[in-house]
Amino acid sequence: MSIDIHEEPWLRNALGSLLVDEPPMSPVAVVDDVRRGETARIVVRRRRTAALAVAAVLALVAVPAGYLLRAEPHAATPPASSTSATSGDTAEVLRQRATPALATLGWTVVGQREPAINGGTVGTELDLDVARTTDVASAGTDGVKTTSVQILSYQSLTGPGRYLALCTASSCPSSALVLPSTTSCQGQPNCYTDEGAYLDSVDLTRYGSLVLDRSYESGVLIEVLVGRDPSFPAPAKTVGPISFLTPTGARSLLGALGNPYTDAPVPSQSPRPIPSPTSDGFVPVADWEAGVLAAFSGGITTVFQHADVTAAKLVVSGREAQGDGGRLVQTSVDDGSAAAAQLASPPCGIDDPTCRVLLPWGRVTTSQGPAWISVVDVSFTDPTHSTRVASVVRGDTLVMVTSDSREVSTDFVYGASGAPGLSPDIILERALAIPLPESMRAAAGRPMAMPPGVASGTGGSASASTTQGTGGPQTAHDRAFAESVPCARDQVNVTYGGADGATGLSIYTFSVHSVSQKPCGLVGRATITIPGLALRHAAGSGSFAGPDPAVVTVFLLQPGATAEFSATKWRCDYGTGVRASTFDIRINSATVRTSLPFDGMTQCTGGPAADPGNVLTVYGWREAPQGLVWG
Amino acid sequence: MSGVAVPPDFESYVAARRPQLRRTAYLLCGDWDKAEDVVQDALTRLYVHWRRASHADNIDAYVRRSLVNAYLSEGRRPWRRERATDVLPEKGYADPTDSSGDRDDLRRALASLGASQRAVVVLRYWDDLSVEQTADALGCSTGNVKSQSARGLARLREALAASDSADPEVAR
Repeated sequence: MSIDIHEEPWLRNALGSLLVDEPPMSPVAVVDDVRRGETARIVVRRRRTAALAVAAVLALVAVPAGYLLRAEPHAATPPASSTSATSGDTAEVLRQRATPALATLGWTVVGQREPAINGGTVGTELDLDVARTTDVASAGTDGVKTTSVQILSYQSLTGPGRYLALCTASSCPSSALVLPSTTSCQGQPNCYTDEGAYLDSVDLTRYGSLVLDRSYESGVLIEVLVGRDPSFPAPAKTVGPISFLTPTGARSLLGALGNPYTDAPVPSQSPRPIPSPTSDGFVPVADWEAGVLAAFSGGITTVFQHADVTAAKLVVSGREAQGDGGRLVQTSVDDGSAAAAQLASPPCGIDDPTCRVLLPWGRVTTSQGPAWISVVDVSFTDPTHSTRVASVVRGDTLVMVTSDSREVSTDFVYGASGAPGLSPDIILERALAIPLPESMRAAAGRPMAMPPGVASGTGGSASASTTQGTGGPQTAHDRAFAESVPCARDQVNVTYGGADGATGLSIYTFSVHSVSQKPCGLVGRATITIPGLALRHAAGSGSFAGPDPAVVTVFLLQPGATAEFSATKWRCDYGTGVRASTFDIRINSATVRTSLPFDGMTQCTGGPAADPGNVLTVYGWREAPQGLVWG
Repeated sequence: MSGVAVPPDFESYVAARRPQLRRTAYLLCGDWDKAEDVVQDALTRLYVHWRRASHADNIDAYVRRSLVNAYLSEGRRPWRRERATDVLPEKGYADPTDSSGDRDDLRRALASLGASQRAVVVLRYWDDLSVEQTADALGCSTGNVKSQSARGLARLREALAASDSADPEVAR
């Protein structure tokens, strides 16, 4: 260790050196701060209002306080079906139910930290400080050794009732029903699986933490986290065995919070029904998550983060299984509150070397009306992975689908993967397939904002390239994207554009029109075959008739746009043979059109072997002047 | 654009201070994810009390107190929840070619400090707070800060000296 900490100024430098791996801050961090703050403020207001109302009732009717605080240890229904807006009430209900259950186990609640809205909108969190009843009786509550119990109530989870037992990482079945000793997780990261949480700190397990987890068919998860306060540095100072770190105690506490506990095996979850969208493509907000999962045809096998269906911004993160591994995918839909932040910059920031545009902002037509789309690839400081992000903007709504390149296991452990994330066309297809919730219908119907960087005057045009302002290629990003999504036969329509000629050279023009909703690539030159003619083929430089002298062999064809290419052939100076009037054309190594009539072409005879009249020269792609019209 | 009613200047204040708060939180927690949680908690409280806090003589002091409280509360929580985010979780990987031994030593040394001691060290020697300002942030006496500071530094020296002696490059 070479840091000289005997001189304190060095300590500041040394502390600063720990910041070298500082990750970038989320671009919407401040917006999210405001949203979380606003949610918390609403809750605080409601709690104050509720407290005043209770005080008024007490004063007026003099209801015994004991009656109001009476616990309901075995209520038949889950206690926390409220929304985040009523989480203060939910926390109080949880406290009233937990207190007598803990008393039965020999513990007294000596403190309660302020109930918090976890993550802003996710659920209700209640932190209780508890001490042994015997300790409280002998020494009072001041200075008594305590441990903590966290009770978290979450909505929108659909798993059956169960608790998740601690077990070693190597043998941790998700359906484990036996609660082993409280020390079996020591030093084992991610020692349990949980759809709603994951173990973050190994160190803390040394203090006997565990998670107990119940979820109800009604969609409420109750989770109890128990931990000895890690501020107790030595075992001698801990509170000793904790009675609810046993199967009996845990079940008793858990049962007091809701339905009586059952040891029934965890049944396999029945797939959620795929929601039926309305005719204009919206789904009930409660079905939005199911709609997202349905959009992933491979299936998201593990959902790490469920949507809060009451929020203006819905997010679902999950693991999409692929063989033994899986990819992390995340989807979100926003009602516009944050869309401006997302649209405030082009897909990639200016001079952002970590971001690569795979598809610049472009406009497409969907069943729900026109939309802007883009795909970018974001690299991290860790060179082993990147994330691809597809964005779809409809009106004031924003759908984002991200795909991480790394493998992710069911317990949220990453593994390096050399494979890229989902291909741009797949991720974009999913982003377009994800339905919007009905609650965002108004936002979706607002006039479309035009992403900045889009050249003015191209509204309704084929492309929104930030650099060209046209439907044509060809930045390196366009090229990479085009190569990754070559046009299929059914995505294009090939037509013959006519012939021209000058000084013995015949020029034939062919058009390739996109009939697809998605961009796709024309990769390599087209191949023309004239049945019956024995012509040699050559590659022409440039596009022949286009303004760009550079040959374009990869062309990103935007939806509805048209690309052209030319073919030329010299006249026959010695003699003519067979004449053909149809041609076959191959694009992207696949025949896309056969027996298409054209003005006709003649085999030359009688000349030298290298008769230029028998050479068909095909040129590169160019943008069709009429191609910038959307279908 | 729909949006919530934002108290005046909250956003600009947060935009200006958030990076520094995050770094302080990281030095307190030793984990960027937790640091983000701590900052979020502190800023949520700040938002709720913004009207009052924005008229305080020193908003930074108020936020620092919230940050430290959030850090100490976070330390009592054995579990951290996932949170909605637009950015996928980012995990770093150790670079075997990176000579980061010194930083690792310092991280371990910091981790060996108690929560309060660590807070004192970070606030005093990273944020350059005075003893009085540190006491205000921690809600304790100046005497407590002085003693915690001395003990924290002693503990750091002890831990770093131990790592020095274990390092063959240094022992040579």
